[in-house]
Amino acid sequence: MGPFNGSLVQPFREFLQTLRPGYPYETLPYTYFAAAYTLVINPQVATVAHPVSCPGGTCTSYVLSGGLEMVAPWVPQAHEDHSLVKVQSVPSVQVDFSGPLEEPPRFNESDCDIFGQSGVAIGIRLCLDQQPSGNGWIRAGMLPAAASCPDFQTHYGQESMSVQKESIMGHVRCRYHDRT
Amino acid sequence: MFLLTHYPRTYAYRANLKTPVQILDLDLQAYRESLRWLLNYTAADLPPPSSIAQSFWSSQKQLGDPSTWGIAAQNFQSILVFPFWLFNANNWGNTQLKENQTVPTLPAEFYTQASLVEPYTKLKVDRTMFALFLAFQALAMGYVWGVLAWVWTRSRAPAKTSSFPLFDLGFRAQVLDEVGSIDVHQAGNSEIVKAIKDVRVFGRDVDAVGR
Repeated sequence: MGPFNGSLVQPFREFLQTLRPGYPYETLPYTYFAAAYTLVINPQVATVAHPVSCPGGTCTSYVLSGGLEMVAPWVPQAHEDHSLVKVQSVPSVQVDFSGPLEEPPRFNESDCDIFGQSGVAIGIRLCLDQQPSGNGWIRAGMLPAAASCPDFQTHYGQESMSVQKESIMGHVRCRYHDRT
Repeated sequence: MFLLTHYPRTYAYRANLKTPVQILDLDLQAYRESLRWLLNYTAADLPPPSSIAQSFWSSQKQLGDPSTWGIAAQNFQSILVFPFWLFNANNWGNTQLKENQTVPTLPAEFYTQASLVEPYTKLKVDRTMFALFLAFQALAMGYVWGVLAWVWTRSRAPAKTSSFPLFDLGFRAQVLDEVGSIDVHQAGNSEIVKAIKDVRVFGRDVDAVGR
């Protein structure tokens, strides 16, 4: 697994739309939708590791090697007595998580996106920005909409959510492991 | 990095990592764009209860307790990691990749070697515990051998005794200590015991007896 390449995002989304021409909605295949929920605890993809640095009180780190899923050509199925695959020099990405953030978190409106639906209480607000002090950390915050806000309105760039329940806040930082 | 997977080739094991290089030039706008694609359930026409947002919206109480926010925190971490995993040169976020074949546009660092291997069990011995084990074993064995050596070099054969204790005591025993002062004619049992309690009697040397 290599480092994040932002130039791949738009072509990928456009490719998905070509699978069903004229489809008015965003295509979100279940393969990715389901994988996103438990990616870091999937042993085929990620391994828990020691954080490279831990500025916060609680730190978690994962090394993402990607496993054998993206090996090409595929592993031959002969030689059943040799049940392991040894791969040399696998590029990997290590992601450190550190938390909690300072309270109350201060994000600019432009750093936040709201995902919800008019008239529906189910919604979240996701905020991402670079750590003001730099050094490569990204601040991330997820705020669920309160169930007590039946009139929760959603607009990109605007929000009328006045009550915020418990949230998840933390720092994220990536490192790239080159070949050994 | 050393990667192993176990039959049925599902688990990954990390052995050695090089010193990582920090990524400082993350394309944050593209990163946010990828998360918008993932989380915008209205754009995907997903029912709200079927959305990723629902899991966090319904976990608000759990998020307030350190003993229960673990799952939600891991889910959040997984969502944040998802764009890194999908949108890299060697995953399906790269639309140029093809199934079960390498593509010429794949960067050079992804070309490597792999081999099928047979696992074996390896016992790893803790050096400190092994040293302690050797020390205690040496102590115990040294004591045992020391006792044996002492027995072989210092001990003597026991004196031969007969059915005549007075004869054995008179000619085959050697009294090394003086008997305490008592009236030998009038002393009772307790006085006798008190007088001879510190007296040591040994078998007389064979040579001395033989002369």
